[in-house]
Amino acid sequence: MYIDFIIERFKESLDNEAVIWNNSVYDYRHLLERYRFWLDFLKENTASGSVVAVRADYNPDSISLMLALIENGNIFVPFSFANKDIEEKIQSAEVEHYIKFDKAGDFEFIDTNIKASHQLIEELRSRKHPGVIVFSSGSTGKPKAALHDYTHLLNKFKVKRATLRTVTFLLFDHWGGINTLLYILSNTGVIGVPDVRSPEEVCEFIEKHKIELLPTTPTFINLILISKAYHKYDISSLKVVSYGTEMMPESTLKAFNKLFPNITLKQTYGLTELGVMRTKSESNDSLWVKVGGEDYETKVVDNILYIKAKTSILGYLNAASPFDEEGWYNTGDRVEQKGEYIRFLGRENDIINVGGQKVFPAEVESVLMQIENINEATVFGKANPIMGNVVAAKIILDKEEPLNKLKSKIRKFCKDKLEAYKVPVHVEIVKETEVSERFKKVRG
Amino acid sequence: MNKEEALQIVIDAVKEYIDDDSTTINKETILLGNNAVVDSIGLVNLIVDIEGALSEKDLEITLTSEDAMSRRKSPFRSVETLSDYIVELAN
Repeated sequence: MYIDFIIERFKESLDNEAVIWNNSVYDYRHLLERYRFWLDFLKENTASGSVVAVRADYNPDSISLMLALIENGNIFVPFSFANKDIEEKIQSAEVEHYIKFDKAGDFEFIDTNIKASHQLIEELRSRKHPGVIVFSSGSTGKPKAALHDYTHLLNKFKVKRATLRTVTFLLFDHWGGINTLLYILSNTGVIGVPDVRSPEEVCEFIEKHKIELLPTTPTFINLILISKAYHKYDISSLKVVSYGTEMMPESTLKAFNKLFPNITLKQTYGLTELGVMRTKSESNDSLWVKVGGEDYETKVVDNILYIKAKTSILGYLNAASPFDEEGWYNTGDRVEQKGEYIRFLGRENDIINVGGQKVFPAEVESVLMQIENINEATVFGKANPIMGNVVAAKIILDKEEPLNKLKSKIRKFCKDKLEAYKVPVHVEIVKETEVSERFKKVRG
Repeated sequence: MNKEEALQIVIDAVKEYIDDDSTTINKETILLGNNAVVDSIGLVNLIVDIEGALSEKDLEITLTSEDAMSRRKSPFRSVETLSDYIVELAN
């Protein structure tokens, strides 16, 4: 009953391409068959309202299972192969059943012997609504188990909209990824799952399957630029590249836009606690955006963005509510305002405090990346007995260069572009940037 | 490490950092206070550069120790006092 509208659309599109996975194309007929299999499986093995975790990557089975979980009224806990602490998360999300896929797509069904009885879970059960628990990484402390009412998300997709052939880039456990997936499914679009998420493989996949939308991270866009994989493969089928989850260096945005003026660059803004918001960029090479939409209210207090959303989570299962009495959520994102537009300056936690002055890593990285022979720069704070912290940078060079020469080149270049306290004091040459499995920069 | 070597390292580092041929750098050059050739973030840079240069000579020295910070007279006053301090730590 929850996803009748999606299933109706599937039935109208039986012969259409649905999922490209493992070098094969699966149609909506196949998804529908698998969905029915999973729905029967869940009805037989789980009670409606029970908490079911699934570890998988996107594939036709895991996608159908996800839909079946909604329909059966389960509370879905997605895990990806990148999760290292599943045991702990099973405890904090009160997972009752665990469906564990291996990379080949075979699965195991495990009863955890846990009984979910958290007050928020009971509240959702009394609404008779399906749910999702996603983990909010947070830069400090334990991952927080955030419980969503699935029906909020589904309501967004009832109006049919156009879709683009999309490559899934975000992992199975990512809230933004779930949003993208449901959007595509509810509009019977095409989802492409590349085997390996390296710049080369993804560009090859784009060429081969005529992909139109690449939702990704700024770091990955940078990796594509550095690898020059776009010389080897024709990625001109791309119409939109969307980016979010971390700060976009202005230099990367401008470089990409210069190379691919016909590709629309779209900034997305989503938070595990709130949902994914509509954004509108001022222009293709601009970092100024409007965020919000009808379901969201925003305010800026002391340069920090606060949001109130109709679609926010019920709460965390293992932490206090993140909302204030009026329902506002402190995003921890520092922003600048210009009329209706805002610009993200960085996470409050990433800010480097140099003798009381604030430095945003993204600003410095953006300047460093304009320097000749510098391919990539990662900026972070390093403790210093005099200033508290100073700016440090890890640099990837295009061609080899001695450190001394590089350091003085950086200083000269930054002199009239950055205040002195923002110029890196420590410079280190590295072979590759530390990039997480989610293609975000690891700072420090 | 003798004083001459230390002076050379400090002078080279200051010259490279301020990158201005019109300023003469010698052992009297002031590094701290009103007449200093560098500001405070400049001094921080200088110290890191000097530590780097010393480490290339296999001398792992931390110039900004609690000892340095708590002395009545700062070792960072001038090129010469800083060089003396390096010699003291190195030996």
